[in-house]
Amino acid sequence: MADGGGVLVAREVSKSIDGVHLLAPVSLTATPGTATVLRGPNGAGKTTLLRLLAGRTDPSSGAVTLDGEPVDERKPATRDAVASLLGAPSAYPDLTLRDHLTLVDATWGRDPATCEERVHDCLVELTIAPFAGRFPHELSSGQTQLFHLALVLFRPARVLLLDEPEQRLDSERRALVTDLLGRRRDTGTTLVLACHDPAITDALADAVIDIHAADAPDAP
Amino acid sequence: MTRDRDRIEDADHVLHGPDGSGLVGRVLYAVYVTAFLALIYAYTVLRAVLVSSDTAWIRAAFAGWQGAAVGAGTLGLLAWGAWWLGGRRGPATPPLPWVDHVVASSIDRAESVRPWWRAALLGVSGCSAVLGGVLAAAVYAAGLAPPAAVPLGVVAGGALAAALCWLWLLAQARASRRQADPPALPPRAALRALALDDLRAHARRSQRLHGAVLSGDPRAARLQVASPIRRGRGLRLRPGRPLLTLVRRDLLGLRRQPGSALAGAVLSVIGLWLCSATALDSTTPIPVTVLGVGLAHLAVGQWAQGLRYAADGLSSSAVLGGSPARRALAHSVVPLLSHVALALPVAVVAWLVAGRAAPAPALLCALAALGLLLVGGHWWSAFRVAHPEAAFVPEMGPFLLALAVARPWLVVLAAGTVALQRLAEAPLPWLSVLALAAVGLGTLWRGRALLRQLVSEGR
Repeated sequence: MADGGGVLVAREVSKSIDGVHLLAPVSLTATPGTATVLRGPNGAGKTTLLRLLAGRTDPSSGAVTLDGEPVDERKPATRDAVASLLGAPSAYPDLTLRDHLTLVDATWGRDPATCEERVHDCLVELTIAPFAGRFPHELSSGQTQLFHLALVLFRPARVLLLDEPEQRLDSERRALVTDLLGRRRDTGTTLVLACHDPAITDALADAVIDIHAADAPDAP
Repeated sequence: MTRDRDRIEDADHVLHGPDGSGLVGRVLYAVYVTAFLALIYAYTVLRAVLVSSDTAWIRAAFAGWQGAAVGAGTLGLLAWGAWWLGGRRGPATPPLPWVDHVVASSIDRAESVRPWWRAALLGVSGCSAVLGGVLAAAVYAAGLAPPAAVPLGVVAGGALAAALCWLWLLAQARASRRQADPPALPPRAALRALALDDLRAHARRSQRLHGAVLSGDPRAARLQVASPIRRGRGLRLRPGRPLLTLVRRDLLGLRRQPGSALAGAVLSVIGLWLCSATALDSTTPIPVTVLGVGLAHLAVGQWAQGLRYAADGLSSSAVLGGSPARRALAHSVVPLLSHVALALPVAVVAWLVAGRAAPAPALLCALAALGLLLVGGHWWSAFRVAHPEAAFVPEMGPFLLALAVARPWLVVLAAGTVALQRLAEAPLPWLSVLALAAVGLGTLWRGRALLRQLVSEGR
């Protein structure tokens, strides 16, 4: 899955819009095979930092690079390398869960002969195989979160950026996702996630970055 | 009852002060604007088109079974539209806070939601009466009807709209109906039968639709009105090469929504027949050609769901591989091939039956080139960037907003109509075919530019 590269570096990045500070300057370096967990209170800027790391928006100061090149979601190279779960990925209302993964698999040019097997494995791994024939609007909120994780984890990526992957999951599913992410990290994927769950943080984090609200008294 | 009305007046006073909500005033203003625009544009354009057309052709077409079929078809479509809309956003849809704080109280429900029902009835009937009168006046001015057609048009327009509003309300009440409920046919009974949860759902949907239209977010608007898909669960998407799988995806989507596929086929056959009739008979009036191109465009839209989904997904995380432009190209295969597949038999039959003013190969190529134009128009619509800022200016805003939305449609209708009309007249029909193909490629190019703009802006 991770075929070389994936060093993500943010140097003193911050974000302000119209004088409102969304993210105080922060630096991080995430290397392949490591997991970096972003922690902080609501509104501290974790999602904003993840958006900056994904190249979805420009920093107001500082820079983000992937393998030495500026990160920019508009560039195919960035899109090829970075898979992110920042809000719900859009789904086709007329495709079932199984069809979605088949489509993802095909558009990334994988071998059609073994597609079904990969799709099945992914659905089983995330415990949503019983719902393979359901349409996205027929899922509960927890199942929807697992489906979104499946879409993002199923595509090839050297860097995984996840915004609170534990959202709406019960403790059993949280443990399952932790295990899955740990395996992705161990195969050399660069993992950066915002997370409020101490158990997941303890299990995964090689580095923890505490984000302070930009207007907090102890913010840098 | 009086006590209920007092309570409603009190609530209205608390919310809006002594002047009230101004609901009726706003509706009357909408009727006034409709009348103003209809007199300036609809009357002038329709009269000019009718005067410049072959009036004998029009009389003959509308006096026979064709006229009755068009009338019955239009009525059927309007009735279906009112019924369909009633299940999603009924005429009695107060704002959400009013539903939560007034409709939810012990006040008679027929009283608490009646102002919005009356406003809808007044607005739709008023606009329809005005349009009926203006259109009848244009027909009279073109010498195709006696002066009595004008008051008749006003009355027929108003009455038809009132009947459609009633159907609209019945469709809204139908969703709230429980097993033990007797049928609620009179408006008052239908209003009383509306359930709180359904009223909330309609109010919320209305709010979101309004926001989606103003912010130029077609995905949000589509999600509000689309019916959930539950059909064809057992069908599977077969994996293959990337572009082939995207084409299969679109076919699978149509198999799961056979109504869309069928509606597209029916619209396409009618539209292509009218387009062929234009190309084969130089006396065909322009409105017939416009209608034909418009129906064919709607048909391609029924088959282009995949293209719209691709456009909707541009703003979210990249899950699919490959470039967005290549994916859009793959999503164009099903609508284009469906159009061409139907164009072939329709053109051959029309050539044999309706006249031979243009050579058959030129007609076939013209309809194929029309397919390019129609798909290009849908690219343009699907990848449309945000509305111009001036669209939010109070006076001219709605007009600019409508223009921004309608621009691809206008280009398609104008280019398609001119090219097909010239096909029957020009000494060199192939020039019209080439011109149509060139404009078709131009719209595709425009759609591609908009797609690139969306991608580069990260929207």
